[in-house]
Amino acid sequence: MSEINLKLTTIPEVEHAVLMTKDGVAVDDTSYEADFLGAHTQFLVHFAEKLGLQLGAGELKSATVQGNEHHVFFYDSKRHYLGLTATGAGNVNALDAEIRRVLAQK
Amino acid sequence: MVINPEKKIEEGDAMEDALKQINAVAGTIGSMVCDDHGRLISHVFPSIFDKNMLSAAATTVYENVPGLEDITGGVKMIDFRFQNGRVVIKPVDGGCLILLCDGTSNLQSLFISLNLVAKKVEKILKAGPAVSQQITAAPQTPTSTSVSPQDLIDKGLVSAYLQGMQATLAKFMGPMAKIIFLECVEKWLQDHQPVKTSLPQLVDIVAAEIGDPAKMSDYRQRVSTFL
Repeated sequence: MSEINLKLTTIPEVEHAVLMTKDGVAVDDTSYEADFLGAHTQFLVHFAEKLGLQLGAGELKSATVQGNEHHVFFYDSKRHYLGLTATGAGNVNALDAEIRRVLAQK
Repeated sequence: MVINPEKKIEEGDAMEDALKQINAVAGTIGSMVCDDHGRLISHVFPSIFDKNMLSAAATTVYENVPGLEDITGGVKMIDFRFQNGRVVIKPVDGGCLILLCDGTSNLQSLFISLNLVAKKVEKILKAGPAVSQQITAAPQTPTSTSVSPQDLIDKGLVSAYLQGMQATLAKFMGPMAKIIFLECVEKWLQDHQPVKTSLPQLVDIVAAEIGDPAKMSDYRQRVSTFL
């Protein structure tokens, strides 16, 4: 499990986090959950990038999907994508802020 | 069915009014509604956004939102943040609301307005097709009384089995499972009646899509528990 994953899973609502290269390869995580989340993260990126292109919105920076049972989060960085899932019970905006706070910590 | 043109115009106006309410939130560039077939129903966007561009975006949303259903257990809202703005997608009963905002939008006001307007949009969509759809819809192919594969999965006689098979396929194929399963059902319906006794043939079609022999066998075993 990657260091970033360990840091993010300290947030109680976060279920899984996967750091992946832009080619879709998970970093330091060979679990089934990482594969599953990685596939969905790639799907989300393709969807968003296509929509962004169609509407002239530019490069994708981040995404949140508020779900009934699980929320999905995506963050872009220079070399990696980060995908996360969290329980649907949590407030999606508060969780997004908390994830950003944890990511900003050194 | 006799269509009252005056009523249709009222519906179109009502949809546009609802969208104008969202556009009044600071930072909102434009908003649009598509139906549950991905067709653009109504939009309030600056004229630089032509209709073809918006229709293409509506199709993209329609084609991709179902792919997020498995991992989320049903999508309530999607918020994409881009370099030059954000796109918010709110699925509603019978369609989808899509907003384009700039970076200055006040999220709290936006989400409150969006939730209120979503209810109005649902009501209008339920009432019937809006006038814009009446005007712009492409000629339909001759009407058929047969049930579509999606309807069959959603509410057909064997829907519980089909949904189970689709959910199981998602464990092997992730978000593409919905699209692939839909194609498999379409193929299955060409030669079979949608009844329980012909489900094994559908299992064969789906398993062939998986490709990997070990995974195919695993899939067959999993679905056999509820077929």
